[in-house]
Order: sequence, then structure tokens, then C-alpha cells
Amino acid sequence: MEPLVLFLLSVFSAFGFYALLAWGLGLIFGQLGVVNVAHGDMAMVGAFLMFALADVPFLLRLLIAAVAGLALGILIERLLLRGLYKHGMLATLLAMWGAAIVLRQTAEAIFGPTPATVPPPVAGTVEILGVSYPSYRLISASVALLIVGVLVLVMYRTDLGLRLRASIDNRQMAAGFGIPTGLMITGTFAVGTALAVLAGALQSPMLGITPQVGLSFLAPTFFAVLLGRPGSLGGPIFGAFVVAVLDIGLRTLLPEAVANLCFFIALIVLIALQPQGPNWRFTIWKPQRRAA
Amino acid sequence: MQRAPRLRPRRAIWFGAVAALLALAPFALPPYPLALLTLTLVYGLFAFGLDISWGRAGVVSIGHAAFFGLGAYGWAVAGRAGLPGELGGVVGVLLAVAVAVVVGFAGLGRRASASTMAILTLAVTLLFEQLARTWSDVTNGSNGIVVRSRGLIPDYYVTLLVVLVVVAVVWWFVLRGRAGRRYLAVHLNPDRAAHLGIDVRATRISSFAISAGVAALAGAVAAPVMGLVSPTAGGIIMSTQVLVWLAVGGRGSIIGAFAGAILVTMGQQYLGEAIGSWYLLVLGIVFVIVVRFAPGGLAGLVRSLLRRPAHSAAAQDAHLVAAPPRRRPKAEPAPGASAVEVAGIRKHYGATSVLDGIDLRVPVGESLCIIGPNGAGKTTLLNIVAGDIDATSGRVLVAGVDATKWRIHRRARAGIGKVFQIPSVFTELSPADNLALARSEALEPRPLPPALARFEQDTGRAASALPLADRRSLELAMVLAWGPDIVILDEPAAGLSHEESVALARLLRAVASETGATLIVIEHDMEIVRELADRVVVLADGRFLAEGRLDEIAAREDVKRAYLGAAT
Amino acid sequence: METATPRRMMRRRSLIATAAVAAATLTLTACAGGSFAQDPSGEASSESRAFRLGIIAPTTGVASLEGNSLVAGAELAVEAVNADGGVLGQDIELIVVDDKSDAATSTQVAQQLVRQNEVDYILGTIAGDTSVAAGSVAAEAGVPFSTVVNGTVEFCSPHFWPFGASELMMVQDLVPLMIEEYGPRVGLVGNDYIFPHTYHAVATEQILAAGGEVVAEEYSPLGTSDWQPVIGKLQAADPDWILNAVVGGDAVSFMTQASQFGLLDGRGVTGTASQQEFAPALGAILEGRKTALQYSDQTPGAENEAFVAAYRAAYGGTDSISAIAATAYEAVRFIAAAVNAADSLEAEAISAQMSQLKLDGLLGELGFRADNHYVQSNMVLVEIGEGGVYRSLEVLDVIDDATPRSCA
Repeated sequence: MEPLVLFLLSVFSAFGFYALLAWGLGLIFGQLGVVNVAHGDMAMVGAFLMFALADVPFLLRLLIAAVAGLALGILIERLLLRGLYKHGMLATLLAMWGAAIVLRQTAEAIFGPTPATVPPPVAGTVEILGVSYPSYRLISASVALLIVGVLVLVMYRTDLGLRLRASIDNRQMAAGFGIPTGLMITGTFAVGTALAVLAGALQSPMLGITPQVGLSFLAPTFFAVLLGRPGSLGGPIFGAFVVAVLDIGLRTLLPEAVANLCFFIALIVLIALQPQGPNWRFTIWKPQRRAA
Repeated sequence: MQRAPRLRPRRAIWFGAVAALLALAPFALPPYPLALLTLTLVYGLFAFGLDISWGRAGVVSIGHAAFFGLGAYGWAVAGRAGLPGELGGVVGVLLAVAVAVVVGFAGLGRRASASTMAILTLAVTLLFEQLARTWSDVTNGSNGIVVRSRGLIPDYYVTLLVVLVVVAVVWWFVLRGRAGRRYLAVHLNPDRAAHLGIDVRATRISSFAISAGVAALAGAVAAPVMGLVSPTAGGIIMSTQVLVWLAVGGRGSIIGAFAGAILVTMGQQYLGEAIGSWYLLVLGIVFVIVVRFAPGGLAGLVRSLLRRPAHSAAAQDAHLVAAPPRRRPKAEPAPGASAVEVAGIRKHYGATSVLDGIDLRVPVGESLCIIGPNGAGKTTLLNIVAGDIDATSGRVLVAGVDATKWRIHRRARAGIGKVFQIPSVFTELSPADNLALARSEALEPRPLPPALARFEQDTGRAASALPLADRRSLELAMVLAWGPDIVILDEPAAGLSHEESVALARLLRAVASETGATLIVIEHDMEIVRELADRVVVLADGRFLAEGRLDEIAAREDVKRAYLGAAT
Repeated sequence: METATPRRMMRRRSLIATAAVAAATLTLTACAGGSFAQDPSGEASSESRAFRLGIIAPTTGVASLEGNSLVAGAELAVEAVNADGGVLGQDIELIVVDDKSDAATSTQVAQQLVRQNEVDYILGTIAGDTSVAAGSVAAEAGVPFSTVVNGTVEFCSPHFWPFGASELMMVQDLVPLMIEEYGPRVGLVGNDYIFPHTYHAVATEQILAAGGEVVAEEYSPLGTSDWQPVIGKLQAADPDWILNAVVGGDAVSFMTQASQFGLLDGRGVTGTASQQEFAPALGAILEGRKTALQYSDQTPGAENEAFVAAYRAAYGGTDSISAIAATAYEAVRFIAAAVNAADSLEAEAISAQMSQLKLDGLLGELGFRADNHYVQSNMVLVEIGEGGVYRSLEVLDVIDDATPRSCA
């Protein structure tokens, strides 16, 4: 019983983290078509922010991280990506690769390569069905999933979300309706970046924060987005769940190095079989009917 | 038409000059820069390999170093086992090609998008690096395998020789040959390429496989030059390095691949010496600027400096001038069989039914017009016949053979040519190049009718510069020159003036009667229908409503109701 | 619409452009003599010229922290040696090159040092694969080569003298101590590359010899951010103490998460994660724990205090001085002494002295075994106190690593 509970709790913890990262990447990669190889490094920025502002209360730090993420996203989108969309995937990929190098090197220049830590706001463990699990892990995963849930609701239930989805779907048409599409696209990218920064910030008490820490997040996040059918808004959440189960499951059952190999092989097979992901209609609600 | 030679003397001179210059390098360079040059030549070959797939066929790969690593490890492992490195290198190349084919099949199917290949290749390179690290019995793990060098000068000449030979061979047989033309077609407009009979998936996979092979060969040559083969040689960092080289040098050009590798590698070296640890940050910023303001890389910059027109650059290295088609024996249709036959075609999207049981036989040589109100399912039906869409149920027969499971290119090869609703041509190429490309895949080369012959001399602009009507005419010219037995046209007169429409109809009629081709046309303009059609069928609400001659049909009440609604 | 440029104009333009590119390429690659003119085996008369020391270190890239420490320690030593009369009466000529932690680059820069700069000795690098790459080049050219990092490099040659502590030195005295204090059941954790595997293989021998048993053994890829599955397996195996060989950011994330899961409560833990550079980050987690280091900047003694003072004066900062810096410092002093004793720049003479010389310094009594070239030095047993104080408990006896290795 205990191993199962431990497994489920760990999957939950990993799922929360990956869902937040993947949903943000889903916006940038799935919706805007930008292969954002700097996504992990944005999480690194969030983690370092938490370290740098160590005296500020935790919640306030998170808020600052979110705002900083938005600012970073707007900066990158406006300066770098604006004129590159028409040049295709390679151009945007390489632009983000350059941005990633700049982010990493700047972090190294400011903080140095020595690993840093952030103390969790809630220390200690909680007893769940006989298993002692660190409380902060569960809290951070819950918060992450809550954020994703709220954003999905915003996307599907509010006017703003509707306009955003319209801009992404058919830019010219949406512009014809008076929706400021440039603003919408910048906004989407900014939100995606902010989510990555927030994910890194939430995860920081568990990490050994170095300028390279973001690199290991890239692959699982991209897999999650691809598994969940790029372009769908709910897809990355499903993909994150699959990745979390695979990751934790394989590593619980097998030795680490073998588990890592099997992880990649399993993902390659999954991608090969389902390049468009399952036809997931979960997030399609019936449209609200307004009184005529 | 006269065949232009595949190789102009000027090119050969260039190649010879470059080869001679490089051969003299050991006399001019001190040892360290020479060693660096050797390494950058190998890296350039690697970038050239990636360019075959990404630059020319448009197949994305962000994990290409896995193939490079396979070649390098092949050489190193063989050396470690006491076997000749060449043997290991060959095994590495074959393995790389095999892996590429498997990955290609997985990632380049019809349902896949560009992002699929991106992520798949990312997974492959990560897998390779992890495998190299874990399988330490064979690969010696993270410490890597030491590879003896032959000596500075022999290494340089061997590397140079291999690079020159590989580039020349690939250029001559692949890029200048039919494969190169197909890569170009598939890259610029995969839909049009498919309808010219090119197997898009096979072309992409072949480009990826050749690209992997060249990368692996570069790896094998690199092993003695690098001195040590470790997991990072095939990992994510090397994969992104080659992307940087290609971005800086410019895709789609041989010089670009090598220039990018040389510039970045040497630049990193000297910049590092000059400004120490800050060089990475500076490099990142420079890189961002390059991508932002010179997306075509160095080659693109040089091209714009030389004012070489974009449309001739778009052809890359493909040999397009009056390229001869490969003559294929055409299967004669079974006697008595219709050109096209559909039986029981149904198509629905979820709960929405578009076609609800269509049966149609089009005899050879007939000009059939399909008319009907909007949303009746006409385009869907034609797409099902051409192979763009799969029917939910029912059969499609072409020349009496069951073609229901055939993909687009196979149906095209059976004689179906398609003119799209929105003209689908190779917009980056000039009209003359468009025609040459179409002719190179022709089933049966045919002369163009005089009304369309003007495009053959049009080499001075890209097809995107043509107004819509001309673009449609170009598309029609391409299809006709390609020599189909059956021509499917989806609203060919849309957007044309009345005079132009009638001229088009007369042209089509003339072509049909001269060549005996079967025409299936969707049209709204009744004048054209009158001019063109032997038979008319009316499609409404997913079913055939009526068929016959235009006058009979126009008089029927149910047809009028379908077009205009119930009230009238 | 484009106007067609006359063919001849285009051709001329392309010719000029290509000529310009060719000229630029040639100048970029610094023409001076050419490679045929250079004779790598011949040496200028070696009596009158200074001793040239080449250092290959990753001053940029993933291991830049360690690389810069190496250079810092070595440069400080070169200054000290030069102030003390230099080598063979002249100042040491120091050449530092960057290998970016990339094996191909290591090979290249090693070739450069050997062929172009004609160095007499090479010191460096950091990672295992770059060390082997550089070492192979040095061995082929007959140039003496030394490394300063801990862990055995899978390589040896007649002129190879590695100053870093071997795995045996790192665990031999530590293991029995831990077994005595905590118990016989041991859990092993490490990153998945060669060094941790070797480290734990040697440790396992020691554990079994001391009557212990290994109850868990896991190797995670570099860059693992979520350690829960490993921690879960360790908890299930219930060891008395844990030996870790995790490095870099992973050291911090593993220890932090292990502590959060309560894995370290009532259990001993030691290993590479207890090194000084992680103390600021790990803080209370390391308090009260012991480890064996090749060098600690808090070891009392006049020589160490002088070194620390000089280091701080030269480079500032308050971070602990890493063992790599100290080892590089000692290595340069040792090499200088050997060359002076040999009274020659020839590799044979230098190596003969390297195998015999004994030097007292920051690493205790420093020397080499002649047969397998393993270093002999004193490890220091430390206890980590509050605020990252590494209190030296005991200077351990010199450990003689007799592991057979052919250095012919």
C-alpha cells in the first residue's frame, strides 16, 4: 500500500510541475509555433529570482516572479520574435536559442556557477496513509494545477480568452474584427513565459539552482506538449500527466539509467504512434447561450 | 527543347579553385590553425549533411548530432576492438541511415506536423547521449574512446579529400538529379508536388536518410581529428551547434554550410582568447542579431549583395532547365472501364454529413461538369477522387483499378492531374522553372497550347509576382504539360472576367479534344458549363440530384429549388 | 519586377566577392610559416630558455568554476616560485588555454601547446574525457602531463603524474569511520558517469572489508532535478548511512530533497556533496557531518594560512578556496622543484625526479609512487560545524594506493 501511495503522491508532485511548464510551452509552441528552447531557462530565471529576493515573503516573491516573467516575455517577443514569424520554425528556434544563451550567461555573471538553494515556506512532512511526504511538494503541485485550471477557465469561459483563441487561430480574421492581434500574440507569449518563470519559482525550494538547471526541464516539457497534440489547449495537461507517470513509474521500478533510456524510447514510440495526440474533447464546453 | 548540360564549366572551375586553395593550406598555415581548419572542414561536412534534409527538403532535425555520433563511435569502437576504423565508420553510416529511415517513417507520416520531427529528433539525440554514457562496455562511458590521429598533415589531406569527394558526389547525383528536384518541390509546395506524382513521404524520408548518412560520414572522419569520441559528440549540445552553423552560414547552399561552420568555430576560438568568459554572452547576442536581421545567414547576405534575384536562388542547386522526365510505361486502362468511377462514397466529419452516397461513372474522354449550390460537397468529392481526403466509406476506381487506398501521388501517377481552387504553384520559383519542374515529373510530355506558351520564357520573376488569373493559367499550363489523362478542375474560372472565362473554357475544350483527356470540372458560371460540358451533374446536400445536358437540368424544378431555396 | 543584371557583371561581382572571402579566410587563419615548416620533434636549444608551463583549463563552459580555480591556484604558485628564484634561474613562462570542457577542443589546444608553444609541461584539465584527450596528445608528444582533479583518470603514460586524490584515498579511512559511527548498512548514490561508478566500486571494496554491506546503489543522470524515486528506493532499503558521489547542482538538489523527505534523519551521510563549495547552499543539512578532503582552507597551520591570505589578497572573495586551487598550487610548486632537481627541461629527467621527490605543503607530504604513478598525500578528516566551518579533526596518514596500473 505504501509504495502505491508514495508513487501516486510523487506522480502528483511531478504532474503539477510539468503541467505548469507544459501549459506555458503549449501556448508558445503549440499555439504560436515557436520552438521555445529557452523555456527551461525561463524556469531557471524564476528560481534565481526566488533566491535573489530571499528576504521578501514567499508569496510576494511568487507574485514578483510572475510579473517579472510577463515583462521578460514581452521583452523577448517584441525585440526578438516580432519580425521572425514569417521566416519559419528554424528562425524562431535559433532566436530562442540565442535568448537562452544570453539568459544563462547573465545568470552566471550575476550569481556565479555555485549552486544556490531557497528555503521552503512550509517545512516538514505530512502523513498520508502511512507515508511521510514533504508538505511543500504537495502544496506547490496543488498551486501549480490551480493556476493551470484557472487559466484554462479564462481561455474558455471569458471574452478575453475567446479573443485570444481567435487571434491565434486566424490572425487576419481576428484583426478584421478589431481584435488587436499583435497585442494578443505578445500577450500569449508573455503568459507562457510567466508560467515558466512561476514554475521555476514554485519548484525552487527543491532545486539546486545553477544557470544550467533549466536544461533538464526542456525534454520532458516538449514531450508533454507533443503528446497532448500541439495546438490544443487542454492537450499539454494530458501530456504532462503521461510524462509524469512515465517518469516516476519507470524510475520507481527500474534502475535510474535504464529508466532514463526506457523513458526516451517510450516517448519516441508514443510520438510515432500518435503524432497528433488523442482527440481530446475535454476542454470543449457547450457555448454559453446568451439571451437573444 | 534543348537539354542544358548538368554541369557548366564555370562551376567546375570554381570547385577546382577551392580544392586547390584548400590543398595548399598546409603550406601557408601554422599547425594549430591547420588543425582547427581540419576540424572545421569536418564540421562543415556535418552541416552540409543537415542542410540536405533541412535546407533543401524542409525536414526538421534538431538532434542531428546523433548520426554524427554514430559515425564517430563506429570508427572509435572499431579502433578499440582492433579493427580498421574505416570498417567501423561504414557500419556507423549504415546504422545512421537505418535509424533515420525508422525515425522518418515515425515522424513524417501524413498526420504528422513539423513539430513532430523536431521533438522526435530531440528525443533521438538525448537517447543517443544517454546510451553512449550507460553502455560503457562498448563506449567506455563518459570518458570516451581515444582515437589515434594519423598526424596533422595526413589527417588534413584525408579529411579534405573525403569532404571534396562527398560534396561532389552528393551534389552531382543527388542535388543535381531527380532527387534534388523532388526535394525542392516537396519543400516549396508539398501539395502540388504530390499532385505531380511525387511521393512526398518517401522523398522526405530519403532526404533525411541521405542527410543522416552524410552526417555519420562526417562523424567517422572526425574521430581521428577530435582525438577522443565521447557521448557529447552525439548529444544535444553538438546538435544545437550544427544548427547555429547552418543559421549563420545560410541554408540551401553548400558554401553556406561550410562558411557557417568555419566562421562560428574560428570565431568562438579567437573571441574566447580575446575576451575570456564573456565570449559566450557576446556570442549569444551576436547570434540573436544574426538571426533577427539576416535570417538567410551569410549566404543570404552575399546573395543580396550580389543582387542575385530571389527566385533563382530559390531553386538552390536543383537542375531545372528542361529536365527530362523518366519515361514510365503507362498502363492501358482496361477496355470498357471508365476513366474515373466512384461507388457509394460517403463522407462525414463527426456528426456532419457532407456526402451521402455518391455513385458516378465518367467515361474516358468525357468532359463532365459538376454544379450545385454552395456547401453541396462538390470540392469534397473531387478531393476524395484526387486523394486529398479519405472517404468515410465507398470506393474510388481510376482506369478500372481500385484506387481507394492509394495516396495522392499514386493516383496522380495513374493519370489524374488537379487544378486547385486556389492556384497551387511553386511561388518562389519563376514560371519557367515551374514548368520545367512539372515537365520533369511528366507522365507524358506534351506541348503547351499557344495561349499558355508565354510562361516558358518567363524567367525574370517569381511566380508570386503574377496576378491571380495568370497564376491560375500557370497552374493549368503546368498540369497540361505534365500530361494527365484525367484533369480535375475546381472552379477554374473563379476570379476571372467573363471574356477570360470563355477563353479558358474554349482552351479546355480544345485540349480535351486534342489529347482525349477526361475533364471533371466544378463550375458556377453557366456560360462555361454550356461551352465545356458533355454532361452535367447536379450535387446538392451531399447527393446527386440530376444529370444530363445543361438545358434539361436548368429547367428542372428540384434543381432550381436546390439553388435558390424553397420559396421561389 | 527585377531587371535582369547582365551576366558578366554578376560574374565579376561573384569573383570579387569570392576573392575577398578567400583573402579574409587566409588572414583569419594567421599565415606565418605554415605547418610543413614546423618540426614538432625538433627543439630549440633547451639550455638557455625558460621553463614553459602550459595550462589547459575550462575557463568557459560547464566546468568554468573548477577551471578558473585551477588557473587561480596555478598562477599564484607561479608568482611564488618566480619570487623564489624561478626554475633553472629563470621565471616560469605560463601559457593558459581554454578547452571549454570539450574533448575535441582539448585535443586541439593540447596540440597547440605542444607544437606551437613547445611547452615543457602540461597541467590540466577538469573533466575525465578532456583529461584523457589532452593526456593522449601529451603522451604521444613525449611531454609530461599532470591533472589536479580528484578521481582516477583512465589513462597513464611514462610522463603522467596526477596530483588529484584517487578514489581509494577518498574513502579508505572514511568508510570504517562511518561504519563504526552509524552502522554496517550503506546506501550508495551517484551521478551516472565514470567517476561515481569508480568511486563506489572502490568504496564497496572498503565497505565489505570493514564488515559492512551495500543495501542500495543508484546512479542518476547528470541534471536530475527530481530525486524522489531514488530517495524512495533508499528509504525502502533503510541504510545506516549514505555515501554520495553527486556533483554540481545535483549535489545540492539531492541533499535538499533527501533532507525534506526525512531520509537523513538519524542517518549518516558523506561524500562529494559534503565538499566546501556546497556548504553555503546546504547549511544546516551538513552540520555535524564528517568527510575526508584532500584540502580544506580551514586546516590550521602557518603554510595554509599564508596561502589563504595570499589567495584572498590576489583574488578577493569570501567563498571557500577549493581543493582544485590548492592542488594546482602545490602541483606547480612540485613540478618546479622537480625541474630544478633535474636541472634539465628533458621529459625523462623531469619524470625521474617526479617519481622520487617529496614535498611538504598544503597537501601534507606530497609524493608519487614510481610504479603506478598514484599520488601520495595526506587526506584531512573534517567535521562541518555551524555556519559552514570545516573543522579539521585529524590529518590522516598518507594512504598508499597500490592499485596496479601500467604507466609504460
